[in-house]
Amino acid sequence: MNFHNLDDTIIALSTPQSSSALAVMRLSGSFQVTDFKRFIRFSGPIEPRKMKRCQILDENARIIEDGLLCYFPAPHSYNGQDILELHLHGNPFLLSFIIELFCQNLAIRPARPGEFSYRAFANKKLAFNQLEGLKSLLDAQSIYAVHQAHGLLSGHLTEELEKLHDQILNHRAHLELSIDFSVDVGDEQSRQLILDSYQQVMSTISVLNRRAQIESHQVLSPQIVLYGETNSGKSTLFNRLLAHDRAIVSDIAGTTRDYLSSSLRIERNEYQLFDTAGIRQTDDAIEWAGIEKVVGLLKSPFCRVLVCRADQLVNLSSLPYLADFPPDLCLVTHTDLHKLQFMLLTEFEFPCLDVHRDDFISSFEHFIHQRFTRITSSEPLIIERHRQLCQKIHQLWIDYGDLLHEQQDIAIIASELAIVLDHLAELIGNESADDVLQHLFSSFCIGK
Amino acid sequence: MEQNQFDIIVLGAGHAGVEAAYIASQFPLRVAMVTLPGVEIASAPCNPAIGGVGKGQVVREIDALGGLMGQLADRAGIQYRTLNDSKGAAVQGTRIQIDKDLYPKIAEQELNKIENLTIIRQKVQSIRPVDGGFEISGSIGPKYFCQQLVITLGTFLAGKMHCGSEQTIGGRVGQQSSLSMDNLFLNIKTAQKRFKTGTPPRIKGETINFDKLEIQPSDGQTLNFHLAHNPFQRFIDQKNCYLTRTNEQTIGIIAENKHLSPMYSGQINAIGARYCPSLEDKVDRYPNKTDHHVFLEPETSSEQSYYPSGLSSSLPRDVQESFVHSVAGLEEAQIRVHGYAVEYDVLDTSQLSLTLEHKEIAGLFFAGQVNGTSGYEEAAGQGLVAGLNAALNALNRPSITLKRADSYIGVMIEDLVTQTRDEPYRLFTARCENRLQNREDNAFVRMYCYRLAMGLNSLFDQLLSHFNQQYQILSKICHSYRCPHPIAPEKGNLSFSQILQLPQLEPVQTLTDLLQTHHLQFDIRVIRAVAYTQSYDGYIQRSLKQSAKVNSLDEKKLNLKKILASENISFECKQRISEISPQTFGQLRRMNGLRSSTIALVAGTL
Repeated sequence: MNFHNLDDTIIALSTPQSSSALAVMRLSGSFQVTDFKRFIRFSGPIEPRKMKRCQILDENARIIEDGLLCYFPAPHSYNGQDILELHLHGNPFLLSFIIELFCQNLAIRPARPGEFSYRAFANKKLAFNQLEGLKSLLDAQSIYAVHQAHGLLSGHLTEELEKLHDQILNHRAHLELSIDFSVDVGDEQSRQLILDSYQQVMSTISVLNRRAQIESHQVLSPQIVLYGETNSGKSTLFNRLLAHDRAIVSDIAGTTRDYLSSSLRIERNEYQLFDTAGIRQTDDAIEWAGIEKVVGLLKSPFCRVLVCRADQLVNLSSLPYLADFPPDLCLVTHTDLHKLQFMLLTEFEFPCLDVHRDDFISSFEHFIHQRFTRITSSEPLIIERHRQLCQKIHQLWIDYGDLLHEQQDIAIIASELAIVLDHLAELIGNESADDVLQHLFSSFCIGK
Repeated sequence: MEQNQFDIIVLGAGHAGVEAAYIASQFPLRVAMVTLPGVEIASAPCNPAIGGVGKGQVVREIDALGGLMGQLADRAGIQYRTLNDSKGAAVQGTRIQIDKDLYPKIAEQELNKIENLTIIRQKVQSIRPVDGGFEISGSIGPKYFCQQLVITLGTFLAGKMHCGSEQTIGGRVGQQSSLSMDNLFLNIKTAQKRFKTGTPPRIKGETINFDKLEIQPSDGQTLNFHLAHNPFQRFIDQKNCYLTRTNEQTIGIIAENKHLSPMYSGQINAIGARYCPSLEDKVDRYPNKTDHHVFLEPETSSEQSYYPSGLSSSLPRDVQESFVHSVAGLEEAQIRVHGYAVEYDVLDTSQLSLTLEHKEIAGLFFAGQVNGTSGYEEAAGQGLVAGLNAALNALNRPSITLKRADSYIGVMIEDLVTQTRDEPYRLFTARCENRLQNREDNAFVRMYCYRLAMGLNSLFDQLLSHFNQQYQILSKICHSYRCPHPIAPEKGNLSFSQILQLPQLEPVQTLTDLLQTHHLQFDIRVIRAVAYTQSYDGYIQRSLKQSAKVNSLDEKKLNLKKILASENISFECKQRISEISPQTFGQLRRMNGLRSSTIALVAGTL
């Protein structure tokens, strides 16, 4: 991060660079709207935070665009600076022309990525981790992602990490206690305090690590993958679930060579539904390539849905790929042709649904929604950096624990702990020696 | 030059003053030390010990820089101990109990030997800045003039003593106080809060029943501080320390009488250190703990007086007597001097630079307890830096400051001038970021470059150079000599360095044995420094790599003008920054009282 000048006036498009009915452009810096009067024309006085009609003029004072402007004077704006929003037509060519026009003729430069938000941060409008929350908010595809982004903006994760922070501080204080105050507190006692406080931190880190194990794409863009033997009826189900004909359906095994995907909305959440090639040994190179792709998809989707013909249920345990990719749900097809034995369905470790029952669609949607709710209620960490950090810290803490048990030299232990703390600092911030000593003095009776 | 004109005057003759005068007079300058009449030089008014965890490092740094404290402690030492003996070389601390009558006598003897140092005993009434320096005068006697002035007034700056409801003006029992800073000097800011410290009652040795107590004998394996001394020589007879404990009765007496303590009656509202609580503080803060350690430390060779470490109190005399009698071994004990608390003014140290010179008044230095520190060693370390730089100033030579990265003294001084404190400052090893490198055993290596920069060619410099040459030679030997793996010979040959890094082996003994088999002889102190450096090397490299990654910003210089002009930083933060004027991002980061957004903002625009 190196945004040298906080005072430059910067400009950027706030909406995506594509054709649309409307686009919003923002300028941020220290200015009056009248500074741009050569290119932005309007009549009457500007009222803060009120929309006003305006025209954009080119160098020859010809009107090139007609739109609305809204002025947010400092400090009551998103980032604490003067902000001008221009609501224009979403024509990418016109928009880049306007940005170029402004930058060439006015003291304005294009914003670097994140620069608006950095200014918000610089003006104490946002905290560090709130910046990240904002990014998730913009990228969020599901309600959960929006929720977590909001959670961050209100500092929820920060609160959770406070516990870890306090435990770490406590552990450090116990380590320092055994160095600087061993005369006051016995060696045995201080050793026990060190080990106990290590364990406390370990249990908190383990919980965080479990949350980090759930991969973000499972909740940000959850995938439902239909898989199974060739000709089991996956494509028919795919179409049925999407309620329109999308896949080519035929009776010839191996019809679906590549996978198809489409978005599916259940209870306000959006999922990606995948129809895949039937898995079987084949000499057909194209079909084999399709099967390999299926294997890739099956590695960590939100939900694996096995599609199986009723007459093949008895052979299910012999399918070679089920060991690697156990289903979360099995949809049983062709029950109209083959009588389904209820007893058989309950034998499996996974739930089964008969696709020919009247309530099939609602049962399926209910299952998916339940599953999504269950996974997200454990509050997985969706910001990739936090996930990686948590996993790394978990490993570092285990290694540090080994050292703690083997090493007699407490200075080495403390030095290695400092290295772990540097990694932790990204997550929970770091404490000064004074904070550690402060904690120590308030917990122990020491001194002459 | 006139008789009453000096290049440097050191005001005060405690541990800070003595080091300042001792180092300054090693340069070709006229130096004077002014002290109150009747006050001992370098006396130890509180615990009779030099060194300890973190403090031992400071004493060895002082010694290697050419200071006096290490020599004095060795020669007056009556009990040696290595604290944290089993916890690794980096956190070990040498502590020497001293004969507190002998220590000041030796100090005075040593200072009297110095030709260009004059000791003046006179109470100072005023200090006046004059053209090219300062004029110092008492109510009687001559006026003195100096170019550089080092102020080391300890607890004597507007000092006031408390024992029960009794109050006495003075900085130490039986001795007077010096005037307040306002009277001495206009325009020098003292900190808003006064600090306080306390000391326990002293016990007559012949009235203690030692039979019941746990004995702590002097440790023959602990090395002397001073490099020129034989490391294991003892200059006087060694004495024991004893361990006893408080009990429910002791705590009961304190609890009943707490309202009589000047700390709790509101008579004192100065701030004491939490790491140095009085017995009243302990009872107040931890009412359920009744068995606090009490170490009985001999104050002199004659064993007439014992310092009961752990029984610091400013309760009235009769209460002190009754709680002392409740402690095992002290049932019949008589008190020689009662415990008391002293409160005093301290300087606002954000006015000082890293040389301890006042930022606005050139030639004026402050060192020691007046800067809000506690401890003889902390005072001495500052005295040395202030005295050294006063001398360099007087000679128009560039200043020498100790780096935070390679010395405890450097850590302390940077903390002092960049952070505000609400209690007396003491060095803990926790404050030092590079604990593995900054050890007692390698102080003579770490301090070598600083001593060389002083450009003095004394006998001590020759000795220090010799030690460092030996260190270099032995380090090379460790990298080049190879021998079979001592535990698993089938693994082939290893260099000495690799062998010293094997976690199963004790490095000093291992290197000693290796050298013996090769018929090589080195001083034990060189062997220790090399052995520990090699054995820690892997960890040191790991930690350096990490801190380089994290702290690469820390070294960056700040553009203070730009920061102070920024509209995005709050007024309070700017005020703090302009008071402290940090030079690097690291100093800014370690400052207290700054908002984290300010720090992040500066980081974003570095």
